[in-house]
Amino acid sequence: MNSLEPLFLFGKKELILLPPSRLRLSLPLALGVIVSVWILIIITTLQPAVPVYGHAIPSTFSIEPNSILEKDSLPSQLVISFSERPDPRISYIRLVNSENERIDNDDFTISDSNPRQAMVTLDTSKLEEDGVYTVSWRALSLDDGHIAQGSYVFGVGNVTPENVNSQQTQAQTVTYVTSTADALLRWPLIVSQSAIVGGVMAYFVLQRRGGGFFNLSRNHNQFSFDLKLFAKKRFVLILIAGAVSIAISGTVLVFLQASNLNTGSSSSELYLSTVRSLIFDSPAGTVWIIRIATSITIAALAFLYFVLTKRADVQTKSSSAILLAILVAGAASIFSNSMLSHNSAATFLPSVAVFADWLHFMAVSAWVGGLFYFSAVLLLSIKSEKKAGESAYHLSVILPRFSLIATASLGIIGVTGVYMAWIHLHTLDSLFYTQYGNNLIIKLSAALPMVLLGAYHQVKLHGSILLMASIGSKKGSPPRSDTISNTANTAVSKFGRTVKIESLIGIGVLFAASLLTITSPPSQTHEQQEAGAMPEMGMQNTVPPGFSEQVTISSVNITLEITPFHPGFNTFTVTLSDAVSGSPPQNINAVYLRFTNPEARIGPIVTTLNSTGDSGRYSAIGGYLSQTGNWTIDLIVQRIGSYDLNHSFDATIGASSSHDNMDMSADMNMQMQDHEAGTTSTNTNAQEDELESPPPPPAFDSFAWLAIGLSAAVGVGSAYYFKKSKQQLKNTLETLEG
Amino acid sequence: MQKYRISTLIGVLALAAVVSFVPVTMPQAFAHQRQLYTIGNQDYLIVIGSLNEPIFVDDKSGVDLRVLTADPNNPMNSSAEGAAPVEGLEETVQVEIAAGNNTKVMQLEPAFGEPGAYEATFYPTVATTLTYRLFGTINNTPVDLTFTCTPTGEAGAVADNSTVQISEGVVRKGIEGGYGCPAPLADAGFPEPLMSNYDITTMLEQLRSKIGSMNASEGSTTTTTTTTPTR
Repeated sequence: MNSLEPLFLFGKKELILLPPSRLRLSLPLALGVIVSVWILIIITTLQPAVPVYGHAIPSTFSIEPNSILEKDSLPSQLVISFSERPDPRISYIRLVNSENERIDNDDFTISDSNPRQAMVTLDTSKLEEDGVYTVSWRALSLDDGHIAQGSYVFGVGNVTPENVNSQQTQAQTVTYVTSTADALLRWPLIVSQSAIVGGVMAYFVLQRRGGGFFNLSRNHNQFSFDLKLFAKKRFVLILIAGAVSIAISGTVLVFLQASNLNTGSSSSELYLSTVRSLIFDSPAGTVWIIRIATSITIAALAFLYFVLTKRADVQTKSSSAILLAILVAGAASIFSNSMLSHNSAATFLPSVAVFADWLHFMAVSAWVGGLFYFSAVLLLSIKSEKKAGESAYHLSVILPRFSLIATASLGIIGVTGVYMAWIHLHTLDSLFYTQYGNNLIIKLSAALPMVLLGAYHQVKLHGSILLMASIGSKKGSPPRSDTISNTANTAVSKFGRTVKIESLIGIGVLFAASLLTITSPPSQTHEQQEAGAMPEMGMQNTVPPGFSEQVTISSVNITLEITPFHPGFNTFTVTLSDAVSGSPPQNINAVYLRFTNPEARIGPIVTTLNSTGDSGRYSAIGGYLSQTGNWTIDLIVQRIGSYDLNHSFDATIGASSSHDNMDMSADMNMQMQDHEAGTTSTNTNAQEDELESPPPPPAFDSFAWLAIGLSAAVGVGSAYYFKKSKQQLKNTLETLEG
Repeated sequence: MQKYRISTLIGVLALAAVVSFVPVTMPQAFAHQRQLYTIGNQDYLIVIGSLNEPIFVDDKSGVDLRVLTADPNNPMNSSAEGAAPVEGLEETVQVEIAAGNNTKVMQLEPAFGEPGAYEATFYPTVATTLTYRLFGTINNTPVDLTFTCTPTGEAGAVADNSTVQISEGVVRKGIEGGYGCPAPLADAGFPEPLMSNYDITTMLEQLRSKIGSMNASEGSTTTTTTTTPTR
């Protein structure tokens, strides 16, 4: 075609001349670039700074962090309530004393009345010894498959003297064991599932020979279209590649999870044991097995399909049956996602939520996967038509058929999506002020260009393709000129470009969806417990320090003493003096200690030392050194008018039986503090139910009515456009039939 | 056909850019402190921290400041719908950085592409508490506000919702969060410990002083030429 020849872009019935091709703006290209930039901007501006991942984290403890228990009221069990359901086969709660001896009975169980509540019973005979005890917990969420772990300390008996000054310290840690890798691995998984399910659905809807709902033609065979063999080959390759991708992603996810569970350990035996536990003893394993089984099924059936279709004499019914089986396997694979999703943790009609989640993703697959099929397989076959204008002919029928899929899918996606948003967000504010809500906005924003492009195809492009197809197609009409044929081919090519862009955007939308899977919905997110105050005081003790180290920094002598220096409660004293005069510095603003034990995965725990007078001594008491092992104690001395003094001390605490060595005054009385400073736990079995009731279901408030209204609007709108698409298909067939 | 391939390529590259950008913009928990003030008759949310946190000594950093008019319904939330960036403060406000006994006044520069955000770049050379003092006028009201990093990082941050009269027309209504101070370089070195330029300079000075003392005690008249390391 001469590039200077005016190009024709058609409205429904008229010719409108456009400038020569060299000066013509490529609208789809520009749209694609604008959309990509838009998505970039949205992601950049809406991403808040602080991560929130989906996890089961503690919300309440029956024995509070940093509390001190009286010996006459020791609890018989330790109960922790989590934000999501912990898996009893992988999760644990452990209680150890300062010598790392287990105090719990290793009987981790989930409460019958509250699946978010877990407990272990305690051997109270071992709990009667004065000292500091460490609670370690790990929770693999049954609801989203993510892992969190943490630890905290509490004391029993006479571990601190009187004259307590309450002080807030962080004496517990929570670690989220998940990463962006999780989302990145899920992405190819759901893209592949979409490609398989959507591709097969599109095949059935767009190309079936014979009659059927979408044919609407007097001559049932006139407008049917079958793929060329090379296109079928590509289709099969996509199915097989998708199946392999699902299997690989699913397997790597399991290994990633095992790796997260074994952070800090280099034992390959332990790692393999964790992998085995995950596969055979956890819901993650069930999901993995489903994915592997369906992937194998899909790959095998796809291969069989190709073998059968190569034979011209095989009836298409067998091929259709095979594709149907692939569709069922794909749907099962998608269901494996819903089994382990936030919807399974919904408190309000969880089975409905899981079904909605599955239906939502099936509809997404029909739409996005259908686009993949359209752009990667169907168009290839259509464009290979040798007869002039045949491409436009087939495309003019297939396009409105696909619109039926898209409009129906959009309706299902909208209604199920609004429902899930209602049960997870609970309030409209959560959409804008939570990470989950922001990620949802990103996903919706990314999907909007797809809707616009679809409308462009249906409203604008289809008209020109139909016009080109109708010229020369009817009996008695003059044959198509080369110009008309070339123009038709150009229109088909234009469509090919835009549908590819739409497919790529769809891949981006699925990535946003995978991010959503690792984000906790606001309905399940709980604040971390604030640490209870640790009683602090300046204790006059006569026990010689078990640890004493002196350094000189910037002409200041610094001595750190730890008494008695054993796992448990110790007194930490920092003495500052001028290296020349020996007198205490007068410009000290604050003195901090920060404790970390990387091997035991404890810390950082921070405390501020209190001045004990004018002697340059600063002191604190606490159970920060709760374990034997290697500790790093960072000292920070903040000065007025001078630079801070910083030093790291390394302290190794060995196994200790030094409780007898604690020289505590007989006059020391335990002062029971209020809830903020320390809590005596007198929990009985009856109290475990009072710890936490399950989160309330979403209220039927204004947000609920908004959701209902929105669902109704989406449903009605979708039905309306479905009807319009059906009419368009009918008109198309009538136009082509003449 | 060529156009088809080019547009597809552009589409793929755009998608790749989007996808690769997301992990970069994924949550990175850098702490900043938020303080709510009434200045004049308007509530302002000041979000302050350091650039490129967490920072180590000798890293490029600086004052990272955002000023917004507070959302009446959610005043401590910088992402709230009603929070609006305040622009133009580079003309009316300056920042003084203090560390130990040293101070330095710097100009605030508007951060590119971020309305309401301002920066003042510097390299922290000592692991010590840094204080940022904002002074000038906001909303035609003289302000003199001080912000201090928390030596223990965000773990040591203490929230405070008390109302405090700072100066005439300036009332502080809340503090949340914190930001860390520059960490010693030795914390980050592996396998050998790192030394900051300041530590190296200090050791050299001490060594020079010792050599001078030794020479003096031996009655040596040799003149020792020293050079100050330059960067």
